[in-house]
Amino acid sequence: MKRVLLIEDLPQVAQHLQSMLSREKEIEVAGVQSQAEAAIAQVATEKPDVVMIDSLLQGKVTAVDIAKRIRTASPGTRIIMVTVPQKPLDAKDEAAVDAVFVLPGGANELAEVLGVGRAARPQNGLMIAVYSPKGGTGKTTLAVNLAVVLRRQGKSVALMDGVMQFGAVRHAMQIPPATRSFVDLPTAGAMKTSLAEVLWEGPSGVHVLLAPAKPEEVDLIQGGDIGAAMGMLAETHDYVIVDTPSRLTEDALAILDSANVILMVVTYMNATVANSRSAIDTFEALGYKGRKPILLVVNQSDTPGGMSKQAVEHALNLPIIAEIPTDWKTVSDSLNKQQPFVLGSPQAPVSRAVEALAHGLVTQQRK
Amino acid sequence: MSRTGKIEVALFAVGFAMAGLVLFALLWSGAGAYADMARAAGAESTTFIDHTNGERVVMGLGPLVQEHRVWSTYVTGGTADPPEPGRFYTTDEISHMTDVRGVFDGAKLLIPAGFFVMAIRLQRARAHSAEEMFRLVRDGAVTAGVVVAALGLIAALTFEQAFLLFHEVFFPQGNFLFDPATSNLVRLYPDWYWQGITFRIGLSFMAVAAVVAVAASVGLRRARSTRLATE
Repeated sequence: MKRVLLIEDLPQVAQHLQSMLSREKEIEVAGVQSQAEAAIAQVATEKPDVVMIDSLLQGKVTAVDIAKRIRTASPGTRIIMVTVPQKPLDAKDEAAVDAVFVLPGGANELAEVLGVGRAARPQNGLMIAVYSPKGGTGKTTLAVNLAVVLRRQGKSVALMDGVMQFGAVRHAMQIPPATRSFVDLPTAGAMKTSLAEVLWEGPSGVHVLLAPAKPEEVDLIQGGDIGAAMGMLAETHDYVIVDTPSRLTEDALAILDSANVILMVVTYMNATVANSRSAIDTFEALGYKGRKPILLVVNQSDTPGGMSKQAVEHALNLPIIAEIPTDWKTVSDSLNKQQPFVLGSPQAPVSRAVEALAHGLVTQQRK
Repeated sequence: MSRTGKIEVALFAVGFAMAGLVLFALLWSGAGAYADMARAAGAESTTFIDHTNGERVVMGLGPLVQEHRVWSTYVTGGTADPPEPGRFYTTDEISHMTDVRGVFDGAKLLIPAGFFVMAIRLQRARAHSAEEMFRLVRDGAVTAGVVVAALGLIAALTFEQAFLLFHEVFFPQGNFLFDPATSNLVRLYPDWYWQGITFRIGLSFMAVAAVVAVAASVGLRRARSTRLATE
């Protein structure tokens, strides 16, 4: 059930939107606010899944300013701007706006911007293994930020730290040290009932399943349990993003076997490309070819080191679907502050590139 | 009443009517008033034509009120940029509404002008006596109220002719005629809107004129009593 808060100063328009929302089975209206301050206060305390703001609100504070303050107060809340055809808005122009609903609108358009009903996930969610056969390619950072962007687009997202020994996801976000991890899950059938209790939900709205905090606890985890956990997460989420270990160990293979898509992170470095070629050969030997897409993402793409995109595509015999530029300052600030850069610096080119990657994945899934 | 006195009353009435009618036109241009009028007319939904594909789109009261808000905010000067043509409105309709905005810009000047005329007349009457001042206010308010009532009655009896005359006077360029079969502007503002807003502006003006006239009569009686007591 998604909770939706309406920010609307015209009672007739609020009534119209409430009436439309009431027809959606997965939607619960959390309230209607006509004043900006009251609305922001409610968002800060209740953190609704979706906020719909009338772009034509009249008052001292504009609708876009309200959206920006809501984004800060509750980064995981999806923000939908409501407008009319003769006052067009583009969600891409405003960092704080995730989607635009144009009145009078229809049920399909509303469901699409809300991410529910027929427009929502028809079956199990997509499991994406973010993988690189070489360390230091930015795989974990990309996995975390990709999960947050997809969540901001209204999808339900689970992020799993598949690096069961020395996992880094817990350090990329402000996760309390005592948060439970994979090792706290019971095995086999009992796992399903306890899964929700072990997931950590941060302000970004992404559900995180952490790897164990202590390295020795990795011995308690079986590869089969990892695959089972991914499957269960996919039953309740649109996307399951898994940060996958670089070494092709039992747990890494369990992840790659279960995943629907392998997102391979490479850089324009000879060692990375060579290892990626070897990994792809292994995937072919494992029978992945033709069964699951292997998509290439180039990180630090503006430091080619004498390599071209075409040369990498040719060497790996796969298309590059996204290129993420280098931004040491934004990325290192984000890691040290433990805040994903797509939230802290949404306008930075690196954030825009991750957004484009997410868009590409969503489009690919639709196809 | 002397000829000069009649002229003073007429000038006061003109100033009172200018300021009052424009103020009420602005007041009743809001979204709440539109919604009330639509409900009163039983027109809580209508059909728009989507100019991009020719399909009909059902517009409930909420979307209609929102459409009205966009236009009323623009024509009364709340936003600088006109709405964009496309799905619901043609460039001709938007051009006409830009002219409406120009008329409103001019009409807004009548508010301070009307108050200025009233203030000058009041000052002159007060210099003569307090009774003269209250008499001017009473007679001016009654005159303005009666004239507006008469105009309102004429408008009610010959609405179409009055509507056409109003547009011919204020939009001599003639870009105010649209085909009701295809114009969403006509669908947004059908007869019930013009009749409703004319009725509301007229009635509220007459109510205020009556209150002002009664208050001035009371003031006049007290001023007369004070003068008689001192004599």
